[in-house]
Amino acid sequence: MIFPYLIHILILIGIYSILSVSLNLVLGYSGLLNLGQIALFGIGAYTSALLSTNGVPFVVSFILAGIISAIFGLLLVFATKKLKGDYFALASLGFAFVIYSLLLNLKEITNGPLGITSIPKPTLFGFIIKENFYFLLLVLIICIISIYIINKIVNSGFGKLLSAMRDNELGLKVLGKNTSKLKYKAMLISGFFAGISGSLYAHYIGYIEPNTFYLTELIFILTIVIIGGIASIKGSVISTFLIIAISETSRFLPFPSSIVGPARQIVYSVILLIILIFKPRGLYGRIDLE
Amino acid sequence: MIIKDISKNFGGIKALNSVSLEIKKAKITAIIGPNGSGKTTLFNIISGIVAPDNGNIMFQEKDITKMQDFKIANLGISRTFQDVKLFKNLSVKDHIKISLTKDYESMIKSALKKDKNIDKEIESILKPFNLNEKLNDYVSDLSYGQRKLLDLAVAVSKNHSVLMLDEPVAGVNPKLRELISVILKNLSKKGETIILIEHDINFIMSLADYIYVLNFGSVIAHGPPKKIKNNKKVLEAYLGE
Repeated sequence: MIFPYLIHILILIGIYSILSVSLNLVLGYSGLLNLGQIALFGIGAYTSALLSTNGVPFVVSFILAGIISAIFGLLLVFATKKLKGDYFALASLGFAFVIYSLLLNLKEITNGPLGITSIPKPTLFGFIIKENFYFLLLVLIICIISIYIINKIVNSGFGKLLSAMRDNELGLKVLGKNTSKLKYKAMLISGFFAGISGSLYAHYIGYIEPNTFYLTELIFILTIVIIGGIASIKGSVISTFLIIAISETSRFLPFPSSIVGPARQIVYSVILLIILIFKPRGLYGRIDLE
Repeated sequence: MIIKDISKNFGGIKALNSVSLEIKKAKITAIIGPNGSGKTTLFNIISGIVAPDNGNIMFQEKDITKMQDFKIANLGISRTFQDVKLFKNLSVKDHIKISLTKDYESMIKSALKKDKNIDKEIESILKPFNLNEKLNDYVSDLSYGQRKLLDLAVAVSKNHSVLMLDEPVAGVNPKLRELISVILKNLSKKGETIILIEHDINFIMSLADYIYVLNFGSVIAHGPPKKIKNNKKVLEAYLGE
């Protein structure tokens, strides 16, 4: 009985690792406090769910989920190109609210608050991934590839430019670098990986509704990134393990779910506060959260 | 570079009032004046950070007045700032690499191609600035003076035809001031075109080929150092009545 449950936890860790690392790419490495990342996760989930429930093969739905989320990420940066720092953060939060409202109200497309049910399991080369064990293998492969790609990017010369832009955008501009283009590229990649993690989530859970991609989840994913450490891929992955482990083990507490749910939020907030006070760079971060 | 009738208001404050300058090639042109006279505003307008209200700037026969900052930088204008604009979480080596390397802007090329080891080249660039043994140090590990030197080294290593230096010796000790003076003299000997903002009159007098004096956003005097040194208007601007 424990083994299937462990597989479930590992699947969630894989999915949220991709999402947290995608957020760290823009937040930690590029200096863009993107509070709309959860909306990109949701766009990916809904894109994949809508396509696959209408007969589109999983592989196509999965890739399109990434592409559509990437495009929305690009649009967000384009629309907010004159905004910096906290103003960008507020605008991206506004973007998250807008996407949430659209998911809730475009009932003809998204089925509104009732959400989308019966999202099919992935089919690869004619093989339906019904068993969670095989789904875990799929998630692990995609997770490893995603983290490898993002790691390669942040450790490359392009990654150095992103870090420089985070530290001093004007200083980079006077060296002749087009920082707007850098932001577009960073958001494109980040949005793509947020989108594919959303697709995996949708196909795993089999049911999605707008509240899954709103403030509670935003706080969850931000907590993971901050605790793990800004500009640390390793930190994001380890933090995902820890936070999901805490989240899942709380199910076994002898309290009703109406208490466990809100209690979890309190636990995340307390952990976040402790980290911010005693280890402000997070477990493995190299950068101060400014 | 020809700067013609540049004016700039910030709210009700006239920062620059029809300022015209000519920057001659292979010369050191200094812009001096009391605090608030508009020197840094002028630099910010030239480098495209701030747009002027009126006037225009011609550089290499191109009108760069309304051009974006990074495009002006790519035309060959390199600058430093009074408050150094370095990347505090990057190493000294990385600063020079970013300055030197064009390939980094392509994400795919940059991720696929192995970063060339150009440590020797970077060491030789940093040697005149006494930073050649600090390659792997982070900006946060450097002293104020070393940061000023790194800021200058980054500007010099970038592909440029004009160097704009905003108070390169502000707040540095006499030894460092001397080192920076030597660096600038060597650059000048190599035919570099340098525009310099400084408060240190002795520093300017020993270096500049031509000086413009600003006060309350207007050019009140210009000429070679000997002419400026005893100019009544200049003395009044600096020392008051």
